[in-house]
Amino acid sequence: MKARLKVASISIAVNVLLVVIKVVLAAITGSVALLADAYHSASDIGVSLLVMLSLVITKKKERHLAYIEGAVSLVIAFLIFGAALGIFIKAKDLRQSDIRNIPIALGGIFICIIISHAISAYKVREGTRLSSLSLRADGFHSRMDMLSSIAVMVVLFGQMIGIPLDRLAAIVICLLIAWVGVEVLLNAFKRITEEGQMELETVGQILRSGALLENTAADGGMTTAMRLISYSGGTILGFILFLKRNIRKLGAAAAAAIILLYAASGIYRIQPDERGVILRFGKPVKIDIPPGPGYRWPGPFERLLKVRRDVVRRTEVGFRTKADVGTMPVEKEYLWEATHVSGLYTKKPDEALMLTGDTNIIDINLVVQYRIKDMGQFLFNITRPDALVRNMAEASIREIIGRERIDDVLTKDRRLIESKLVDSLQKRLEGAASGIEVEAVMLQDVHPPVEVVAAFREVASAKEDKQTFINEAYGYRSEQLPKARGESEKMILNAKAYSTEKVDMAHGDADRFLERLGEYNGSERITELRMYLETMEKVLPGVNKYIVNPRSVSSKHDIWFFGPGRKIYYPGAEEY
Amino acid sequence: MKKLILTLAIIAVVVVALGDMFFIVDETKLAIVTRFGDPVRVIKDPWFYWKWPYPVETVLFFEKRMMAYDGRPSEFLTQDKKNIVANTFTCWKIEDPVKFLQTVRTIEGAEVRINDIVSSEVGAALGKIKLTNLISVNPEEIRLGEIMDDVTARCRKMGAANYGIYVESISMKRVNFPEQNKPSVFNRMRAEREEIAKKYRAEGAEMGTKIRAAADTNKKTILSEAYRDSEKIKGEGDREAMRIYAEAYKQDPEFYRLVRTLEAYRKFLDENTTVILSSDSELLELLSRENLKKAK
Repeated sequence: MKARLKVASISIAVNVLLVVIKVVLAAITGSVALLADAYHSASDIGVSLLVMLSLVITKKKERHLAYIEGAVSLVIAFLIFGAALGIFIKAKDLRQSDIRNIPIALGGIFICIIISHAISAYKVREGTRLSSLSLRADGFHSRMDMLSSIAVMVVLFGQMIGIPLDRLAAIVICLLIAWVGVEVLLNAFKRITEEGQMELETVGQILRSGALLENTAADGGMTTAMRLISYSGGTILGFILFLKRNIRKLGAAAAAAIILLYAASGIYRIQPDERGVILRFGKPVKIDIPPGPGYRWPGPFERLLKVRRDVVRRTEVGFRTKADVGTMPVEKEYLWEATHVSGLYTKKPDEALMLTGDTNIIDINLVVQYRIKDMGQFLFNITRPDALVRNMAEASIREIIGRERIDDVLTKDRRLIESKLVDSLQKRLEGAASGIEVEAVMLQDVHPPVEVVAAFREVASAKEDKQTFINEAYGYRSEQLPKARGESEKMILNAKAYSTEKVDMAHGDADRFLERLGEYNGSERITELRMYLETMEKVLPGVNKYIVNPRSVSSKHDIWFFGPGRKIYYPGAEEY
Repeated sequence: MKKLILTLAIIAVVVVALGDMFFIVDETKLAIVTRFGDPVRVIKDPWFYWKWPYPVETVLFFEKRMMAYDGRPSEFLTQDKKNIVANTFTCWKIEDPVKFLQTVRTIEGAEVRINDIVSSEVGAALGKIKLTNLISVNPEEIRLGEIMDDVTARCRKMGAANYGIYVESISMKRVNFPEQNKPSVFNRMRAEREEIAKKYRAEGAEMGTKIRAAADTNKKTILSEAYRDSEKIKGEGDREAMRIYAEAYKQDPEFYRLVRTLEAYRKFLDENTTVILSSDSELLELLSRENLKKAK
């Protein structure tokens, strides 16, 4: 008996190891099939536990303890069904398996297969040696586990070369897990009805046992497939016979199961981005339940509301973002003239157009971001929070814009308006006890109405023109002043040059004069004559000369000249 | 067989009746229990309640939360004869479900009544004020808040007295000019902008001219100063030259006269000059033989 317990304990330990390996592999690959396989191994732990329990009970020969085993079996069966269902839902909802780290997973699952094989062989051998049918059955079960692991390996390999089988394999493994559940359930009923001994005699049980015979003569040449068919067929047959015999008790069990399921429907789970509220007979009893699993009364007694409390919600004023843009052309940039007939946004002119304090019309589009501050108020004080926020934002922005000048709104006051709007809107929302907190207000497009955009642009051009005029004038100044400065410099330099020249010339002339004067003194007459004659010599050759004898010319006569080169007739004067 | 059917029927009726006897009032709801159509109980707190089954008592549920009614835009005339289109929205809830049931029955019915009373109150209020009390750059003029508080108070009284509703707040959501007035507003805006544009251009021209004039002035100043300085420098040069000349020449003015005169002859006697020389002149006197003899 001790030996049997030892085998069962080893089996549990090994299965725990397998579950751990498979869960880790499932986590690093993201494969549902692997996860399903992990659940499958986990269900085997349940089976092994039951085997252990049955061994203990057989030992003590206390039949009434069989009920306990039955109850435990029932619980384990439900857990196994739950696991199967969970995996099934997960596999069903999964759009696309995105599997990573396949080589590691292949290695890991290969190790799992070897472990499974070893433990199943060990259990079957020990079961035979100790002639324990339940141990052998458990061993056979481990072999199924090995098969499912092999299937997972095939799937992973397929995934690697591009055949997506992950979900399908997961669903198949779910069925295997459910099968284990059926077996355990059967065991439970058997224990409760204490008809286990009789069951052994049924055809089904014989078939089942036959499949497990290994080292006997009857084994001769049975293939694994045959064993599988024999085992499964035996189980189904046994199940049918069992149902037939225990219809009343089963009815009671079904009723119990329904009650159990009804009670279990109170189990809930709040996702990380959600908060829960529990209403008991419509009255909120628990507000702001943090994420995680929990229990509430089922059915009409208590109701659970899930709210995404921390998500930042968004309301648009003046426009709406189209949910589905599809293939519509999207404008590259939004200019003031944009009429938003196509593209990403739909214009809401009624919301967007408003009056400024100086009775101009302006087009303002804004986005309000808000969060839930008080869940109780948010859920039970107000209806349609989105419409409420939009209406209040519209009222607030108009009140603020109604005090502003259009030019200030378009230019410098945008930030100021945003902060004023946050305050005003927050006050209104608090006044309505809405439980909403305004996170931010963002003015998007702020521009004059489309009809007058041209005029506004004209102002911008005029502003540019003004600057252009000024710049041109500065350009003129920049051109003229350096020129004038150059001119001035030139004049000064010229004057200096002139001055220097004059002085130098004066010096030169003076020096020459003084030199000559030195020689002249003492020989005045001769020098005078020489200079005179030299000069005459120099001067007279190129000059028209008339030599007149004063004695032959009477003073009464006129002298006539006829231009250069002409012969001159002069009475009394001989030709020269 | 007949007995069985009868039993089953009775059981069915009992089950249905029992099911109809219990009801839950949600946190978001108000309930009235009516007995043969007469309201007998008003339930405002959420919990689990019972009543007599169907033909005797029935339960009616009403919304307990606040509702926001978006009013219809309507045109009003202000005291200073300006047409404006105003749109309000009303936050309200059901306060007295029995009165609510008897007078308006449904939320839609209530909204029609709310629109009626709010429109009339807003119209009356707007008729007493100027447009500048609604929108103005002068904050002291604006009386929107007190007007809406006043309207809210009056509508609250009326709503409570007549329809069993509580009007929490009425806000002025939109104030706009009617569509027909918009073109003229746009024209005014355009004219305003044109004026601003003209002003900018004129300012540009003004500043440009000023800058040019300043540049011209500056230029003239620079040049005249340069002229002044250069003439002075020249003068100084001249003065120095004169001093030097005078110093040298005054040592023998006669010689200077001789040298300078001869130099001048060299300069001004050229091909275009015609000289009439006397044969008696010192230069030519040797031309006549008698003079030659004489010289000998």
